[in-house]
Amino acid sequence: MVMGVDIKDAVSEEFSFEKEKAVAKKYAQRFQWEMILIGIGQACVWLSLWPLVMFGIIPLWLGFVVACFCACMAYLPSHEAQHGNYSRGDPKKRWIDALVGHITLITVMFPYEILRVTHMKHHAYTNHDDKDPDFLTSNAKSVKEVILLSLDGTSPDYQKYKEVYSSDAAFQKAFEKGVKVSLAYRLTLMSLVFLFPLQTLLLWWLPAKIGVLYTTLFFSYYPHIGTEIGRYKNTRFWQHWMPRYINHSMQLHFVHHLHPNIGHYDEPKAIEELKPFLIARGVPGAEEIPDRVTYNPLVKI
Amino acid sequence: MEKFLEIILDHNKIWFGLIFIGSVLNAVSQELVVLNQVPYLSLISFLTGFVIGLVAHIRGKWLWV
Repeated sequence: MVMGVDIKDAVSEEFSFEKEKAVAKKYAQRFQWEMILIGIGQACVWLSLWPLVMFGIIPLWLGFVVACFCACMAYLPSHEAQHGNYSRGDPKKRWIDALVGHITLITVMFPYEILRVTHMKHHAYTNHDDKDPDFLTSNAKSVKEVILLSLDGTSPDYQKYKEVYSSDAAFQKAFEKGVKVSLAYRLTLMSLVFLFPLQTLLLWWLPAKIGVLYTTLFFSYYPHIGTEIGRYKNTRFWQHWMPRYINHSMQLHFVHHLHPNIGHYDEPKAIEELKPFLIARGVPGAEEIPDRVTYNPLVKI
Repeated sequence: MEKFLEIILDHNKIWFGLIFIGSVLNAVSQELVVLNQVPYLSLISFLTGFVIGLVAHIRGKWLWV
């Protein structure tokens, strides 16, 4: 049993879970150096915008554009950290997960610990209306609803999930840590806006909103449209008019739900090899997966 | 101390409206030439931010989701 679903049902031995896992394991070994570079890099670029704008070296509008780009790049490196994909089970390397996870999220003002524990619950209970912290956005009725939910900032309702998982001590401990970080973000934001109102609005608050909207739309909404509960049914392969490097290749997000330890940039190769398994298991949209995932094979106009 | 913090956090939308929205409105209004002659511009800006925050606090949401 995996995530409450009998993974042995109705699939020939050729596509057994053990064989699928062995294939996935090959792509879950590499050190994710690109993600560390992106995570720490975008945070440094974002931080450097403040003195650049304050001293008039670049105009505020340019700072805003760069900050929005940084905010859109901020989540994925933390996402790899949430799954421990930098340390890969080595306790001596866990500091890398925490470091990258925290630093990259400064741009979008999110506490790493809260995202980590709620994301683990999203994986464990994908599409369960009462237990999946992403349920509201991943099951939204339209893009407009996702935009409103993201901009409103009250979704997901983290306080609600703190109560849902009140008996989970590890969840509560991590959540409490995250609340302190969240409070520190809030105090910093309030102090900065009082001193530098327009800079704080255009270098931090608005870019963070845009980054969160981008992330919610491509990581949470599109991959889960019309999906159900179940290991092979809760995420889909989809296509989009946007070239895949612009939406972080989230068309391939389903393989992440099946094998979260596969590094993000190794997913295309893993999918090519796993395609027969995915078709055999009836992953939504699996027949449309191209045999070779090259630069832009996932565009659909 | 914890109780005090709790009260502040329970009213976070009001604080956000007053400090964040108020500061931004104040800064924008100072830049607009047409508003140069308006008296108590800062007071009006912060009051507007406070009211926006208060409405959001009562509704429990910022937008009409």
